[in-house]
Amino acid sequence: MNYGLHIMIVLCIYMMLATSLNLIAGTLGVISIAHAAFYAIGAYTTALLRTQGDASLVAVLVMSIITAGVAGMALAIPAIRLRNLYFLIGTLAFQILIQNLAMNWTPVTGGAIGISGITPGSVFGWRPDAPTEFLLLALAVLLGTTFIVYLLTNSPAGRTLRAMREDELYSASRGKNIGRYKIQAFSIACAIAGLAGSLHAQYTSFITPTGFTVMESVFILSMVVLGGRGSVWGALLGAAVLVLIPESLRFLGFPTAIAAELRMLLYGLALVACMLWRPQGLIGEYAFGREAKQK
Amino acid sequence: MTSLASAQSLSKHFNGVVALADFSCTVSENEILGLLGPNGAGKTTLFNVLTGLLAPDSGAADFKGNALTGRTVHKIANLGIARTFQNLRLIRRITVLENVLLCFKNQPGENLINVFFRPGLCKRHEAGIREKAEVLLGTAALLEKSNDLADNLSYGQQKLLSLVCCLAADAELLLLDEPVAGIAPEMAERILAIIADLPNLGKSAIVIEHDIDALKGIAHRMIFMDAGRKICEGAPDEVLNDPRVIEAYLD
Amino acid sequence: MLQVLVTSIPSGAIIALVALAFAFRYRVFAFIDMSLPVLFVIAPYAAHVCIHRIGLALGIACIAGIAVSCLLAVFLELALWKNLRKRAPATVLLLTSLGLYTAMMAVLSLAFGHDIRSLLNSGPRPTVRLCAVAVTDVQILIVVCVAAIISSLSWAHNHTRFGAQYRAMANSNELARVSGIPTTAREMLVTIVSALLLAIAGILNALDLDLDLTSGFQPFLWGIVAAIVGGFRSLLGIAACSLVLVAGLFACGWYAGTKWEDSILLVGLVLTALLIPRPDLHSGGKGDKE
Repeated sequence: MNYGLHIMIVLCIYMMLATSLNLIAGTLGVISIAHAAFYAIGAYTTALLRTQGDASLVAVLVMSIITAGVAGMALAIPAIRLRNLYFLIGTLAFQILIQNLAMNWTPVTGGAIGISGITPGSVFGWRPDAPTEFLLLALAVLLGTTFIVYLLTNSPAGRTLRAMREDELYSASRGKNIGRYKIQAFSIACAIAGLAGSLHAQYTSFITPTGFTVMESVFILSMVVLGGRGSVWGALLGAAVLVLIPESLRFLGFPTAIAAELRMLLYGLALVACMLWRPQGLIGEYAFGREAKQK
Repeated sequence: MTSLASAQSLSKHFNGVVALADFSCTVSENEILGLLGPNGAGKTTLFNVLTGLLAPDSGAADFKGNALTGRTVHKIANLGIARTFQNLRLIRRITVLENVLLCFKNQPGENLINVFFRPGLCKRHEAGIREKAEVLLGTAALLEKSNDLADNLSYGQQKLLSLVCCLAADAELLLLDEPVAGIAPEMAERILAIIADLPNLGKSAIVIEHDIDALKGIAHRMIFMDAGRKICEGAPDEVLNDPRVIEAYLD
Repeated sequence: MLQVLVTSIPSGAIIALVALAFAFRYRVFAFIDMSLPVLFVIAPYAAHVCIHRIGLALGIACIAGIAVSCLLAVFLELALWKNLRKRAPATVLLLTSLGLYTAMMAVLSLAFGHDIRSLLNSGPRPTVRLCAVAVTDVQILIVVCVAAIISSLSWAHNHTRFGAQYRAMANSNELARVSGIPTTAREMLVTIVSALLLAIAGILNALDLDLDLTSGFQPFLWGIVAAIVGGFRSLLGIAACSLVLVAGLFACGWYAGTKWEDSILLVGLVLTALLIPRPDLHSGGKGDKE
């Protein structure tokens, strides 16, 4: 039973990560491999607030949203001028920068050991200590963020994001302020990732830099790609597939170290297979951009 | 007639090729200006400079008293200028209706605060522009195609759609780059009719076309360009009978 | 400090090879191939296997390792990239390469585990003193090899028919094919050459430092940065940039602590991208306007 609850909570967190990345990589159409960095920023913010004082649940969630969102804005403002592939390198750079900070800025982040002893915050006396209680919290937050993403994707703003994805120049010629849209979408997506990080920190009670690497970013990206870029349901589905299916490896009796590597192998192959045979993902709304006509 | 937009001594060259050479012109309100000239004469370059896609090497342009040079693309569009592209830019993977909806200005739903905190306002506005879009599509006889992907339209219908989008943007000055090139006569007529009607709607247009007959029917004035320069300017008959123009087209 | 700077030269040389390999491929294939670090890492691992399981001598093992890397590159080109490049845009190619990297690294991880190995016998290497600075024989070997490789590559690029064909393809693949250049064959050549560069870099790196699975990613990252900052056109430019970059990083590392090198690199990259106008990097650049 506890295992089931555990998986559900992990799934909620990854669904939040996937839907938020989908806002950037799917609806806006710009690939980022820095999502784990914002996940980390939220997690570390929460960890520090909870271990250095007894911040309330609300305070912790809000602060994680703010730090991750502001960091997202800080990255987006200079980076949006770059063409998409160079933007990707920019996100890679940011991701590694944050990883390095987490690993090396020992007085603040605890270095390689990380931060432990993170207990969940409380709100009006209720503290989600038990797994069932935490699941309630996670579900509530997931519903809230998914609703926000859904609302945004189906609004005129979302329409503009999609148009920008297809033809940025044309959208600008129709009066759309490209920079503003990109920054806003990016910041919101990063803020949600930070929120997910906050939940993660409070749930697993300890965080280390190894949980927030480039590979983690690629993992989240794979969920979006596999499920279908541009589709909110697709992101949810992709998260479900990539979290649940490898869990079944556990039941095949592999020792944990090997299972971890096998999982990575599966992800890698799934991504390659997806790109080869179904680039639009399982239920995605489009394959890939206008560049497809190029060669 | 009052001047709506003007270009003063615009010059632009790329790697030694002269695209615009000391080019000046004016467009008045409620006027259709035809722009003629052989390929490479600099017509599209002029459009690119006016809409902010290219910065001129020298010279200036303005629209309703606002300087155009140095302004960003989207800000120029929001001043009230809309254009079509020679290679027909549209958002192909969304529907015809969505393409038109995209072009309306000042939609509250594009502002995130409104999306989350004033959903009623957004919904009402969306319903409003949807009605307007359907009216526009109706006058262009594209209404049955509203929910088709723009990609599924014929070439002529796509060109018509891009014109409808310019109308949706409620621009006062339309820059139309070869609006009827390469399409069937019936469709061309439809498009030309809409363009010819623009002055009645309080709009002006600069139209680039190679089809002289088409242009003659709708333009109030014409300019003939070659190698970036204005060669001659005036009423259509004047320009078309100018020996330099005749010579250029006979080559 | 001088010691630090001089020691940075062999490392810079290795990065130069990686940067060149990356730039070489990128100019023709036009996408960022994130699976390249595997080619860098697999050569020394294969050599290690040759030495310890098969009992080959060091030199032959190294050549075998290089061969393995090249074979892998050729296999991937034939089985995957050749067809995918024709029909997929750069984003898909990038994602595929990410998937490949993940999968291949997982395989290597399963095969070799995470312990550190060395190609050479442990113990201090014989050093030479050059003007108050100590360099090991391996480091001298690295610098000499890389200098030789880069100069011959540069000469080939600028003075041979293959080089001219390559430059044509880098400019426009379509045009090159239409003018009769056998692009498919040349693409295979590019694959092999870049694999060679990466494999040699990997082996040289493993000779100097220890070998572990993660040792591929950092040089790749530094290599990309050097290639971007150096500009893709000039091979010597990229090489020079790599040397300067690594020297700079080592110097900074000496002051700030080596663990900060990556961060300094990236901050430097970001600042460069922001402050130095590089129109080819920005959207709305030559590709976007009519």
